[in-house]
Amino acid sequence: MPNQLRNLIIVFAIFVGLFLTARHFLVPKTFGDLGHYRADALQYNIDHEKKFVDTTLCSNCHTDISNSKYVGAHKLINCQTCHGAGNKHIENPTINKMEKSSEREFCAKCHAKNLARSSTVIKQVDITKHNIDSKCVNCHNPHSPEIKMAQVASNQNKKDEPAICIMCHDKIDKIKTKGMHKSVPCQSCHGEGLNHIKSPSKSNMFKPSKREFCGKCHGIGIAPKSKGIKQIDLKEHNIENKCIDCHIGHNPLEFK
Amino acid sequence: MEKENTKVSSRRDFFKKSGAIAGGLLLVSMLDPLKQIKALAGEKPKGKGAWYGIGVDLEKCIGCGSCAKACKTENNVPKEPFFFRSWVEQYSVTANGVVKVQSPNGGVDGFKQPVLDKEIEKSFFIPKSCNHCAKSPCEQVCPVGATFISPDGVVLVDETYCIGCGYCVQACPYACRYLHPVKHTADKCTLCYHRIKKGLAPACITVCPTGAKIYGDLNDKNSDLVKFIKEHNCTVLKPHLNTKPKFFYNALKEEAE
Repeated sequence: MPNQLRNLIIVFAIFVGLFLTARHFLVPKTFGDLGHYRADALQYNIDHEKKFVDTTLCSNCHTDISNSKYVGAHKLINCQTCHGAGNKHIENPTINKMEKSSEREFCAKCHAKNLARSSTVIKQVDITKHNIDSKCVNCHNPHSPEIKMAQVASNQNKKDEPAICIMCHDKIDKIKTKGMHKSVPCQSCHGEGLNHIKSPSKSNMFKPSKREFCGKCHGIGIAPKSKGIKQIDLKEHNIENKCIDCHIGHNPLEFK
Repeated sequence: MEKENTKVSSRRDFFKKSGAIAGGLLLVSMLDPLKQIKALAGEKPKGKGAWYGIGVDLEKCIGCGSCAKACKTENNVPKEPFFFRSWVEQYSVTANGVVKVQSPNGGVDGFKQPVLDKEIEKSFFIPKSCNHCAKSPCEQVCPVGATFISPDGVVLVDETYCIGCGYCVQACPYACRYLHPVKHTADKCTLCYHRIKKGLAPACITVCPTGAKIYGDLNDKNSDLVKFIKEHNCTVLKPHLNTKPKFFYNALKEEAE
């Protein structure tokens, strides 16, 4: 073998040796085992901590809630859809509370009227109009939205009890109890409302607006004078306007 | 006779040379320098394992954004409104053909209709995330092999190996990737690989209130996903790019394709 060739082979062998040594240290251990990547990265991804837990854990403690949930329209919804991930709560339930929201906007995320939502899939309301004074949870049990309404309907015999009205219209009640109309039952002005209790969205309550309606109690010569009710002469007192243009019906000595 | 003898090697030489060759071959086979080349050529483990995909019934999607919110929680995705592994878009098409697409905070806080109801011809939600393409462009452009398709068809990122060059973010035609602002590595939907390997559904599918989103094994004839694809008229996003996405949409409108 000529010397030149022998030297060339030696240099080449050293180069290959260096390359293999460098490669041995630079390429990660499991690289290429399964493809052009580190096979260990699979386990790395699997080891990520999970946060959403199995909901059978929820019903272990909150049995009553899960029982009521499994009969209503929300029965197929995971608890953590509304309450957030449960991993911390199951570790220490007293310190780490679940998320809880009673805001209208929270329910509206699913139930606000939107043309992109199919009406067969989800019940929608126009939250800019639907009972804007109240929170959804006052009338609807969030775990079983029909139940609270059904309870109201079954209580309809006690129609004189304002508590039924307050369930949904609590804001109005707060205004009313501040003023002169606090002892007046809702039904005196708005009617009995049996149909409204059964189906609030389809059957609206009567909303009086005429001067004559207020006159039934407050008009001189029309209403009986007793009981300390303020008497007004309807023929003189600001005849161009309706009473409710100036007075708030639920608290008449407050003005708009 | 003497001349011929010099040409024929001795028995000793023969053993020496064959020993050296055998030893050399053994050494080379232990180092396996062709390992990477074989991998590049697409040599994949044999056997029929799972091959995961996702499905969404857009008729059932109500755009509540629960999936986007849950994904952020489950995977520690930064809360800023421009980092998403999973998000929801709302398309609104007016009567004169104008298409408006919105995704306020990825849909996490819910949607408000941007167009007046009377002007809308059609409107729909589309939940989006990684399509886990079988021929994923993001995997192909990764210069270091940090993005890869797992043996069960899930496109994953090796965070410890990613150099944060962002090629994959540019290559993804579905805009499913982002660079993590703290880790400085590419981040994307893993189909909750840590959950599905333990038999749990991905977080987005766990919390979906209407059951619109499902996942499953495309190799398993009895899986939910295969049944869903059989029973519905499913399409994928941007099929013309030939990335073979595995995210199947039912009732996908032409404006979104």
